[in-house]
This record gives sequence, C-alpha cells and structure tokens, in this order.
Amino acid sequence: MAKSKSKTRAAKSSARAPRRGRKLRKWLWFFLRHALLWLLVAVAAYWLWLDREVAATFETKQWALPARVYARPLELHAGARVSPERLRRELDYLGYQRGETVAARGQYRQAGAHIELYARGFRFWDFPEAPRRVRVRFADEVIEALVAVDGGEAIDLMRLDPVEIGSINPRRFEDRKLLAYDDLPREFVRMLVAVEDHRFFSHHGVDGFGLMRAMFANLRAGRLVQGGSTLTQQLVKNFYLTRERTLARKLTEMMMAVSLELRYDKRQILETYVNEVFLGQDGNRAIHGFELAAQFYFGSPLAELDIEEMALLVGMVKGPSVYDPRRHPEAARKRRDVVLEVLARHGMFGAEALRRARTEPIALRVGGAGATAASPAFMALVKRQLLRDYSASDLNAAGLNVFTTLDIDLQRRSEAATRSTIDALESERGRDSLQAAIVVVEPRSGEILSLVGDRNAGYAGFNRALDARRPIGSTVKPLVYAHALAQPERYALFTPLADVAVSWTDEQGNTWRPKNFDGEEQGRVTVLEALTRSLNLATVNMGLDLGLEPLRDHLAGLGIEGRLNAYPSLLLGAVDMSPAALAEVYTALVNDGFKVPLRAISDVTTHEQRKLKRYGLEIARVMEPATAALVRFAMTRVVAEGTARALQRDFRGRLPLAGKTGTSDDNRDSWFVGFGANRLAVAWIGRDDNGVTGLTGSTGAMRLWSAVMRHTALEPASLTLPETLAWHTVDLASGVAVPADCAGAARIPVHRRTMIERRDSCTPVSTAPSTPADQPRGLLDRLRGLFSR
Amino acid sequence: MTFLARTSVLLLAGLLSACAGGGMRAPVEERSAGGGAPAAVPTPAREVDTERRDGVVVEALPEAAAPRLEPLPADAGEADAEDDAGAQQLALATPAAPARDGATQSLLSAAVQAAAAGEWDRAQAALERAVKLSPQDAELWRQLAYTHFREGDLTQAAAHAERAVALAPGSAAGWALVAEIESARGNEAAAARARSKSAPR
Repeated sequence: MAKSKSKTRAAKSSARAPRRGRKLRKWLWFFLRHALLWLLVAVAAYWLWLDREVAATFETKQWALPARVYARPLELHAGARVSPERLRRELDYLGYQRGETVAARGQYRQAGAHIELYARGFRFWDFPEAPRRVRVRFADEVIEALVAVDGGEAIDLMRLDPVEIGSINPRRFEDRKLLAYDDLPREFVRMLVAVEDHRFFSHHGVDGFGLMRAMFANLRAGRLVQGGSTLTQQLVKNFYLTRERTLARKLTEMMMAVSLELRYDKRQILETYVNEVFLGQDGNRAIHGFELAAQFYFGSPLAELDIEEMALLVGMVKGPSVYDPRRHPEAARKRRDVVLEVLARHGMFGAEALRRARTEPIALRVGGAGATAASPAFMALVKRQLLRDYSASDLNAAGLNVFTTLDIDLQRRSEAATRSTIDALESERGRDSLQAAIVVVEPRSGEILSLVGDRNAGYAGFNRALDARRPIGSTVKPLVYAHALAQPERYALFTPLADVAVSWTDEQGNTWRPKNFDGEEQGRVTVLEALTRSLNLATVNMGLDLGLEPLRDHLAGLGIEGRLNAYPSLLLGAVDMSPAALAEVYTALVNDGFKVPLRAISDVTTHEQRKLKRYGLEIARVMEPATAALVRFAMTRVVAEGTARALQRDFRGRLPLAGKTGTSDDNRDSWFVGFGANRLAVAWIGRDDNGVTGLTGSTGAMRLWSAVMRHTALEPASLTLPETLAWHTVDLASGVAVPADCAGAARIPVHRRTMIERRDSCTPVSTAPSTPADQPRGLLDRLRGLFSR
Repeated sequence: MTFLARTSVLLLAGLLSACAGGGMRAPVEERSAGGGAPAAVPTPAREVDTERRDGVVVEALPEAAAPRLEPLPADAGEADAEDDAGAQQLALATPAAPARDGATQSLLSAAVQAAAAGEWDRAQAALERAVKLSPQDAELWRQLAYTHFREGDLTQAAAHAERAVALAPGSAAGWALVAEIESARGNEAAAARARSKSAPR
C-alpha cells in the first residue's frame, strides 16, 4: 500500500516541474527501492524467524516421545489359573470388543465354557507374539485347553498384548498415544484428507484453490464461515493454540505452513498432525491425537474402529467441544453423517451403507485409558527404579517402552479392597485416620503384582508400602525361629520351650518384662506351639538361649535393614521395616531359602522394541532349604489352628496357606504376612501419627490381606520337603515319635540330623517307671533351672 | 555351635568316601518302603549312646557331637517319598525330559534354541518364565545357572546352580556345573567337593 501512494505522489510532482520532478522522482525511487528492500528484508527475517520457531516446535513434537509403561501381559496356557471372568476383564482393559463374530484383531466372543479371541499380537523383544485367533476352554477357574482356531492345533503357551498403564512425561500433565504413519489405517488417512484437506498430497502448505473458495464463501456470507486451512496450517495452529482469527495471524500461519512443507515431507507432517490434534477434554486432561481419542471415546485403538466411528472422530476436528459425542450426541451424530456423505461422494462409502449408518445412533464405549491407569504408588516405584539407570531426559524423550510386573486386575482389586476394609474397620470400631498398605508379590520371581500405599489409592503422596518403616511385631517370629531350626541338633518343631516369665536388665539398669498377649503363662510348650500361638515368653526364652548376638547377625543376614540392637525386644519385633522390605525377606521362606529381590520392571526396550535392559531374576541363598521348609510348615499351622485360623473360611479349597500375624506395642501397628506357593503379600494397618489403632494383626491387617488375596489365583503353600527332612508322626506333648496311626499325634517334618525318641505304641507302656505326665514336668523343671541361672 | 557344625561338616566331607560300615549303629526303626537304598552315609565322629527303656528308644545327643547324618526313615507311603524318587529320576534322566507340562516344555525348547544361537538373554528370559511355572524343576534352574555362567555373571550362576542341586541333590550334571562355576570363581576347594558329587553314583 505504501508503494502505490508514493507512486501517485511522484506522478503529480513530475507533472508540475519536470526537472525538479525528475530529481524528486529519482529520490523517491531511491527511497521506494530501499523501503521495498527493507520491507522484503524484514519479511524475510520474520519468515526466517518463524521458520526456525515452527521447526523447533515441530521437532519437539516429533521427538518428545514419553516412555510408555505396560502392565505384565497375561499368559495363557493349559493349567493356568485364569478364570473366564479374569480373561474377560483383561480383554476389557485391552479394549477388545465383544461381539458375535471374531473376524478382526481385538475382537472376542464368549460361548459357554469357551472364549474365542483374535489376539492382536505384540512385538515383545524376546519372543514376539503374532496376531492369531484362539479358542480358550475353561474348567472352572482354570484354563483347560488353548487351541488355534485356524488349523486347530493346541497352543502350548501365549501372551496377550500388555495393557498400557501410563506414560512417563512429567513435563506436562497430558499423555499421548503416538502412532507412526505406517501404523495409520489406510482408510482413516483417506477419510481425514478427503474431509479436511483433499489436496493435502499436492499442495505446498497453503491451498490456493481452497483459500479462494473459502474467501468466496466468506464474502457471500458476509462473515467468516470457512477457514480454507490445510492440515499443515491446522497443525501450526494447534502448536500455538491461540484462538484469534486475524488476518495477520492467518498470514503468519501460512508462512509457517510453507516453512514446514519445505522442511518435512507429507508423511512426517500428517503423522504429527494425527498425534497432535486436539480432540476434547477429560477433566483436566486434554485429549490430543486420534489414538488417545479412539481409546477415550471408544475404548479401542484407532486401527480397530469401524468407518462410522472413525468418521465421528474426524468430524470432531472441526469443533471438539461443539461435537463432543458425550455432551452433544445429536450434534456429533449430524457431523458424523456429513463426514460419511463426503466419503460417499468420494466413493469411499456405499450409498446403502450411508442410509443404514444414518439410522444408527453413535455407540460410545467406556474403558481403555482411564480404567487402566496405574496407581501413583506403583508408578512412583517404576520411576524410582528407572531413574537409577536412565537420565530424566532419556525417559522423557527417547520413546522407551517400560514393561512392568504389575497385574493391573489385581491392582484395581487391591485398591478397592483396601478402601472398603479400612472403611469397614473404622465404622465398626468408631475410629478414624487409619492408614493402610499392602504389597502382593510373585515370590518365586520377586515381581511386584500390586502395590497400595494409601487407603485412597488415587493419592500420590506418602507411599507407605515402600517408605513407612514401622515395628514389625510378631511377624519377626518366623525369622527368629528360623535361626533355631537351622540348628537341627538342638531344635526341632517338637522341642520343648519354657513359656514362663522372664526379665532382662540392660546396661542402664532398665528391666524389661515381656508378657504374652493374654497375660498368661503356658508353661511347657513346643516350638511349633509357641510359633503357632505367637507366645512371647517362649520366644524370648528361646532367643536368650540362642544368644542375642548370633540372632541379630542371623536377622541381618536375612536382609532386615537398619540398626539392629542385640536386645531381647528384637525377638518380639522391635525392628522397623516397610511392608515391601518385609515381603522381600519372606521370599526366602517360599523359595526354599533363596531370597529374591523385589522388582517392578522386567524389561526396557527402545521405541523399535529392541532390548535395552532386562531386569532378570536374582537369587541369593540366605538359609538352608530344610530350615525354610520347617518354618513354612509351622506357618501353615498358624493358619490351620493358630492366630490366623479365621482365614480358613475365606480360603477353603486353597489350603494350606502360610501366615503370621503381627502387632506392635499398644496395638499401634497391625501386620499380616501370608503366602501360598505363587503369591506372597504383606499387609499393614496403622496411623500416620503412630497412634493406637486398637487392632491386632488378626483383626486388622489380616482382614485386609484376606480381602485382597481372595481375588488372586492363589495356590496352596508347598509342603514338599527337601531330602534332609522327613515326615514323622510325633506326640507333641511328650516329643516322642509314635506310629503313624496314633490319634492326637501330629505329622510334622523332622530334620534327619535331629534326634528323636521313638515309641512303638501310641501310649506309653503302663509299667513304665516314668509316666508321660512326669516326663514333661521334668523337662520343664530342667528348663526353668536353665533360665533361672 | 555354628563353628562346631561347620567344622564337623568339613570333617565329614573328608570322610565321605572312606566310610562304609563300622563304628556306627544302625537305626532302630525299619526303613520306609518308598525311600529306596540310602545314599552313601558318613559315620559320626563319635558313637551315639543308645538306651532302651519301656519301649522307648532314646538316642541322646552327645555334647559336641558331630551331626548324625544317618537318615531317619520317613513314614511309609508319603508324597515325600515320591518326590524323592522324582528328584532322583530327574537327576539321572537329564537331559531326557521328565514329565513337564506343555507350557514349561515349550519355554525350555525356546530357551535351548535361543542358547544355540548364542542369545543368552533370550534364553534366560524364557527360562525365568519357565521356573515361575515349574519352580521344582531342577533342570530349569541348572539351565538358568548356565546362561548366567555364559554371560559371565558368576555370582548369579553360582546361586542358581546351588538352587538346582538343592532340588536335585543327586544330579551329576548339576554338581558338574557347580564345580565348573566354583572353579571359575577361584574356589577350588568348593569345586573339588562338587566334582566328587558329580561322579555318577
């Protein structure tokens, strides 16, 4: 505009005075040329700046791939303890669609005792799973057979695709599910281009025809009705998310669009567009990208949506809130039909199908993203473990895949069980501010299956399962007895102990007088009885006999952390541990004396599914297999007849189970440790201010343990004995081995190095000089004599 | 006490091959039906005092005695006896497969294939899935130990091999691997002990 004005003025002056005018014209021309030059320079500089700006933004969008975090995949094989309900829930978490036919990946149907599914397959780094159609046959809660539908051969073992439970991208509160161009369904790309920018593959960022058509439409309407924006322009607009619609803005957008087109190819631009475009709001979470939107609105990956569903999402681009199918289903449906008409015009959708689609309402599905997000407690653990091996920038940008050990189904159920148990305990007892934590592990591998660190699992605060170190009370006893039973020449399960008052005075002259829970003394008891009934006095007397220093060393050797004082209070659990740390120590009892460190991550792979790091199984022998088996047996008696016998009702058919209750001083902390062969869990209930809860191990934590473990595929504890042990029938009152058919005698494992009296009849011969009643008393007196020294 | 126990274990290890009979009393009870012949058993360093009174056999433990390694017979007809037999069979039958379920077998086969291609990490991944399915299968633990050995992680190799022979104490292949690993770690004494157990019995 400046140009034309100056031209006019120059023309006028030249008419009045040619000579002077020529000079003036020369000046003006000079000025004009320079102004033009500077303007061009300014524009070029601006463009250059824009170019760099938009390129930088584009690069970050391209490469800021957050780490994807997966739950552990469900393994299917004959004999697996997977119920039809469990499999169906897994398929729901994964967004498989239930229907009448199973024709495409991600579909399943249930018919009687069968579930037929078309597994998507997954590129696991070690053994990839190909997509395939399988039929799973169930017998009760167990998979009976697994057969390939095409071909009919039996399948030994397969893994489903893993549920994605989150991403690690702390930069912003948003998550993405990114798709590569090659993973985009062809029909989706054609649809998107046809509707939004049908000359996308031929223009250079700005579509001249489209723009003219839009201007014409705007002029005719007298207002802005069409943008004429290309996908590239829309992408630029999305980068900066300003809603202003000025001409300057529009020009800037065009310049940036052309820049992008010069720098990147169509595939890169379309890929970024598909992953970037804003498609709605879920609370404070922005839904960016078609893959996330597909999962948010339809609970399925984009590749598995049908044409109508894709059309709805493509239609939403024009106005994500106006056409939000949840809030404005009618508007969304109309918009979808418009999209379908465009497709029909392009020959991508039949006229008949169009008529039929118009009569169909839109069917949204819940599931996917929100339902499978891991709890903050578990994600915090995953991040903690990752940050030991990777820098924060690697995690945020490299697009790693992190495979965790989480059982998403158990996690959900653990969270719900924790909430309901704590609520029930509070209302029954009129207490408040109770807190809880529970960790469930696969003891043979150390894999953490679920982790709850707060009664409200949604809170990301203090993670009690990992970080709350509390006195463990009587849950230390099996570990203390392990030290005794590791000396089979001195201690067996039938060895008598003195459950009598004892006191101990420390260097400062303070005297410590422990009591049994009920305040009574039991006199002579066996090791088995003392552990089963959690008798404090017998334990302390035994511990003093064993020696406090060796005991402390033994406990430290098992991995009990922190400073352990060689005081007898150590025998009763005056040692602080977190639930997770205690669970790790107990893995040794399940695994015949081999301890397994807990882990939350199994593998980390690159964006292309190449292995970066494997967190494999590590084991360390901390006790003899025989010792572990003896203690394990004793712990099954705790559940069968001891302090945890209330569990039997809940776990009928899955016994024996091993367990131990624990209560700290004045009922502040309530603990329960329990395991079968394939599951180990530690539960804790207490208060953050360390106040009195009024709960014992069995009235508090054991209930939580039971509520959670009822949902697991729990197998009975193993009573298989190593060759150093053998079963014997023992009369516990006298500690004498008797014939196997004697009533009232106990079948217990005994170490082959242990000396045992043996009697050929169930009852002692009556002519015996020493009656059975005398004998124990004599033993007890001997013991008393020992302790009074 | 632990010192004594350790000393006596060492002592007994030395005696292991030498003793066959004399100086020790046979256990009073009859042998169990399923137990089979006892393994070579060392004699205790001192004689055990045995007295018999009113139908009760009392075997008192002498102070500071060597541990008595004569196996106490198990009650007859127990699952335990079957397990012992199973362990023996597994040990002798290596590498011919004992009764494995299809899933475990397919993982073992996959591991063997991966190992043949030198892909120890894949072999390990498969075996670790397998031991979750069949934790009592000593052969799986032995194979796992071997993958660690090949990858140069001697600590884990030793721990896994220990687990294998704990499950199948009669496995010559298991003890041979223990010997190899201990030797690589420079524990020649432990290697020699293991080697003596790897001789077929």
